[in-house]
Amino acid sequence: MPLIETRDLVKEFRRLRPKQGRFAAVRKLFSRDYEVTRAVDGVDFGIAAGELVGYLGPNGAGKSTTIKMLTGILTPTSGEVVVSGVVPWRHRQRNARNIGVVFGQRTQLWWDLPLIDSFRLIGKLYQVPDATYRVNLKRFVDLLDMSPFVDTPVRQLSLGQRMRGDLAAAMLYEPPILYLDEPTVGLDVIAKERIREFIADLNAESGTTVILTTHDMDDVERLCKRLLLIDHGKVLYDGAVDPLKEKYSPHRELMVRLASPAEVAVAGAKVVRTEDSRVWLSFDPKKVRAAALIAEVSAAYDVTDLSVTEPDLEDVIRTMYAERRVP
Amino acid sequence: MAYLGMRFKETWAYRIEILMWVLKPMLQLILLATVWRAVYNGHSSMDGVPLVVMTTYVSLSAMHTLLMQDNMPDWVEERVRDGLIGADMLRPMSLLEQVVWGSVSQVIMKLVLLVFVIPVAAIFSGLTPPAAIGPYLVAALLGWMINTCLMMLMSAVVFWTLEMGGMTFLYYTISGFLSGALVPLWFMPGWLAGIIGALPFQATVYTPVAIYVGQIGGGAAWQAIGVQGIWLVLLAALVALVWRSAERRVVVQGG
Repeated sequence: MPLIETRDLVKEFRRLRPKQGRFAAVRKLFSRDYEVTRAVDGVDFGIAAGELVGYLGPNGAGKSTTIKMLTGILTPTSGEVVVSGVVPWRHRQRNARNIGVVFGQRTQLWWDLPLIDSFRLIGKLYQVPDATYRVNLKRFVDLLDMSPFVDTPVRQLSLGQRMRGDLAAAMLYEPPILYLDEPTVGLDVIAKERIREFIADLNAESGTTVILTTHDMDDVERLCKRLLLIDHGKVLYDGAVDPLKEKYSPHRELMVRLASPAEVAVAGAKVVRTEDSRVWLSFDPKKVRAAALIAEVSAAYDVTDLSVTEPDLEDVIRTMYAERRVP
Repeated sequence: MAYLGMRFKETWAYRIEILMWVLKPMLQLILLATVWRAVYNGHSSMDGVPLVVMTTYVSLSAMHTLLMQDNMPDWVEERVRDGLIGADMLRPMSLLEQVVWGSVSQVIMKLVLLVFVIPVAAIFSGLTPPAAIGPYLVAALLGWMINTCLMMLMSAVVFWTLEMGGMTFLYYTISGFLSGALVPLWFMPGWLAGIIGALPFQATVYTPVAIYVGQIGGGAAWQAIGVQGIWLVLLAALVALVWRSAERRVVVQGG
């Protein structure tokens, strides 16, 4: 039986049409003028213990709404959700003990107080035994290199520091499940890498089940074996990473900068964009090898600079959008 | 308890705000005592109410108001608007408990601040000793609890509207008047006193302070405390009902 399971999960938001003018807030209170949007529209999936799953989709696809229902802070409109034998929205506090949650866009730490105070309180709230607390705290402070700033008020931390603090806070009480909602958003390369390493470690060593939402394809490549792709509240794809990329984004792009603008035409590649002296060529690496293509272009034209780009998640999603079909 | 400690620490994070919390009741009680002295215009008593009772009443009600104006509606509004309410709901502790502990932490902080306010009140208003200390303390506690319930009911509005839109200000203005914190009920015209007497607001400030100065004395004091008790039970039940449905329909803002 899966550890996390949803069946035909639906969440509709009824939103009052905004009012303008005087006493808008008061008038809104008595208004019955609703508009309904379906953020999650019949989502089914099962996730086994120990999996590390990427939950992806464009902005507004319903990712965060799903995560919020898994955590119990949103009540589903219909359908079922069971996490480790608990219906989250019905038994929110019991569910809270099983899960760690990190929202990249906002913190769960106490804004005005030193980081260590938040840790201490979380230890108390979740009734972590003192010995375990000390061991975990030391482990996380070392792993995430937090010793320089544990005594700093959270509001003075950099985004990367705060994120590390949030991760540690979510794992102090050793929950078997970890939800990460865009944990690397806005971070620099080094901070991202440190956080990815930490997540990979947790999953490998403690067997923590992780659901990760992100827009960063590197996060996915580095961490996830399985992907759930969602759009307009529906699951579009559920499976491994590589087949998805091959299916939806088989092309690489070669950008060449020419000494003087010219019409570029090479076999096996298609010009997709031209801008001043730069030309973008799209090619299928299964048909044309990148090295061969570069040699050919260099021989035919006066190339001053070039680069090859891998497809990223945005390409995959864009392609899926364009094709609009469910695999 | 750990949570209470945390919220208590939070209350001390902003020094200027604390200074305001001390200055505001001082200013209020100085002004009110001055106004009432002018109203009495040299008379030592009016309608059978001695001046010193009046000034004690306004000083004490300023202090009660200080204890009761906490930042709960702002806190709830901020948490809901920024989506932080999601983080609060993820803790293994009910939202209701968290809000109540927040209020308790504030009232403790303000009790500490009273150390600075009481001497000012003693100098400017000539505080009299309480007419009945036991009933006063009971009534003061019940009054605070009723006020907390009222604040919670008002704060819950945010879960439906996602904004307070100045409602807090309106609430403070209206409750300041209806609680008898500005003008004691005994000076109000009969019909108005009747309406106010049927509302819960007077149970927050007027009842304990009137017991303190002896305007409500003896059996009447215990009767007033009984009325407070009824209000508390009714309002607490309403709070539980409203907040349960608020938690169910909560919209956690932001992605």
